[in-house]
Amino acid sequence: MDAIPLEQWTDRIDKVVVSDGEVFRRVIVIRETASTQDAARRLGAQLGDVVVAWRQTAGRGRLGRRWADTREDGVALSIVLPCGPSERLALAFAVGVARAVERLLDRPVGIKWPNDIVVERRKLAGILIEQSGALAVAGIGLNVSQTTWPEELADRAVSLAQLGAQVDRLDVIVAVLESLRTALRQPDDVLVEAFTERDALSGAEATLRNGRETVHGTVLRIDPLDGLWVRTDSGDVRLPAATTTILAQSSR
Amino acid sequence: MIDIRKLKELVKLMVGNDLTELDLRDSEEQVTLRRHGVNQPPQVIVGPGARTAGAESGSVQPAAAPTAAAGVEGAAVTDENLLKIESPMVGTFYTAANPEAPPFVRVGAQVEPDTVVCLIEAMKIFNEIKAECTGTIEKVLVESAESVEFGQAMFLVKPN
Repeated sequence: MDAIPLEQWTDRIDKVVVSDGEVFRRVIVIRETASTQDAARRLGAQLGDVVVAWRQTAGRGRLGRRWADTREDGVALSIVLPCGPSERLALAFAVGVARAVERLLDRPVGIKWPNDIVVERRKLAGILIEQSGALAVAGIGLNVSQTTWPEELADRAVSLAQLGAQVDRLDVIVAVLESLRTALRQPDDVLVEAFTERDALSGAEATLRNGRETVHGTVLRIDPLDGLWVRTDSGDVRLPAATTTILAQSSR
Repeated sequence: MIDIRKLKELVKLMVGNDLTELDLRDSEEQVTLRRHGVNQPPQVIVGPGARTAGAESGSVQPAAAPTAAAGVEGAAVTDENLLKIESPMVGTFYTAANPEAPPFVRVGAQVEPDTVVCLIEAMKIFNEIKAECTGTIEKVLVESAESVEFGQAMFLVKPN
């Protein structure tokens, strides 16, 4: 349970991160919504808007996958930004969220390419970015105070609380937004270096798909703005970052 | 020519019996009906002319060019009047928002500049692609989950 009630969220977020008016311009707090991504669109959110849910009941993941009900244990927010190159946006969000949770946890976390935040292969945060016209809507789901999980998530999800950080959700939201504000302004090479330090996929065995082609092998290295190099039985291959998705990962 | 009333009966039969696929054929015609989800209207494929129709409205859309796999690549634009909707980026092409959802557009669908025709995913970022033109979808040139290149034609549109 949060120490800070919902009624204070708007003011607090506004004071800390929105008031600068540079990246974030307005915060909209919703008591309950199925998905902050959809709410942002429905509300006609504008550039710089941050849509935060006290509770998100049916968040969306990639290709219609579900993000579990946050109840009052998780953070769900969406940010409206100018449309940009996919690789750069994905990278800035992954690095921004990773740094924020590291500050809260006081320990390093991993980025599973392209933008899952993981600790020992369990997902701490997920990012979904949808672009339409001139706007990108970036949604973040982050597990904060959950101590138990539905059976199907038990060995795939983890929360800040389970990693030893007892934090208020509002502090998590503020930390994430502050960190994103920094990351979104950083040059590519700084973000790539930050990614590489946290790369949780390189070294692992994985099955990847590039278009219609499926590749299985050991991920040698990843340049998030370029591609993935994979060692397969028939030699080393480079898969372009833009068209590659991970189908499965086995332990490193 | 398929009788719309007959089709509607078949659709009712499917829904009533919770069938997901129904395939009927005789010497003259072939009808395939598919439902992807309980709450979605069935998709109707009428052969052998490869016509498509929205079952809910009961209207039969204009005939479509065959979409055999061989026709997917190197689809020569024989009709100079057709417009191409090209991919603005490199990524993975999706016809629907998720595997359970109906496609954004099918052959025969009317599009306007703001109509979303597909998603292209790159790095887990989903980009809604709009038609940017007005007309009728004549052909879908890419299959869902295939990768597309910058500038690659994805749809052919017959201008109104």
